Amino acid sequence: MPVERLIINNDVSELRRVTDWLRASAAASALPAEILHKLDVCANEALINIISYAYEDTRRHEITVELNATPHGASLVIRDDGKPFDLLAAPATAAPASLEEAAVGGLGIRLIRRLATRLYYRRENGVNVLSLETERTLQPSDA
Amino acid sequence: MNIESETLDNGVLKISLAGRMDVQGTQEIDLKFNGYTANQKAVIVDMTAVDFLASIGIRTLLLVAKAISRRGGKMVLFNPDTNVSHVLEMAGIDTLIPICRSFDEARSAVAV
Repeated sequence: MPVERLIINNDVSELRRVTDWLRASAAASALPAEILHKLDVCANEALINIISYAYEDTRRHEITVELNATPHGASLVIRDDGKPFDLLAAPATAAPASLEEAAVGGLGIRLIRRLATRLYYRRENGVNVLSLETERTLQPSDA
Repeated sequence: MNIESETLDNGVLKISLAGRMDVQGTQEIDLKFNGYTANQKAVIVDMTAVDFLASIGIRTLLLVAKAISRRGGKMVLFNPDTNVSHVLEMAGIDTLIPICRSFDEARSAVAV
């Protein structure tokens, strides 16, 4: 599978385009549905964070998303030129114990951490580089 | 997304959601979901036709469930698909908002 690349603007209306691109790329590479779904959730959560919080100006910014095949799944590499943000170092929110005390924040980061098998972050020439690797974990009969 | 509301017997309200519960989809149903459930105490949310759930959608489900709980009621989710169930489990929400696999189970769970 060749590296697939998509460039989007920092606008929430771009998220559906990312999903369409992921679907087309997954179909072309025969990625399992479970991998596609994990990539879709992780991409949505990581990109909404970047679009909502990474930029201190109101200018248009480009975010690059790359999809690579791995031996047991696929990985996404997301690059943005927003302020430094290491998702791996963000404070972990505990799973809420009751409905009353359930916080509605931090859910996106928790989902990425739990759905991705491996996460890597580096800051490179003023750019955040987040790598998310996904693998199959559900039983084939669940898919 | 689409949302439909149906009043069943014994004061049970069934909300049927359909589509992709991402940022765009959730914005499309958020107001109606809150409006339909505003004075309800027993709510079954039919998730059968929801094929994607992101944190923004979970947030909406949590806020509605909390509001119902505050007036002494209960909300349950009926029949989410494998992917959506997995997201609910990974987010730790399945322990807060019960997931019911049969409609009878859902009716019993919300019975006051």
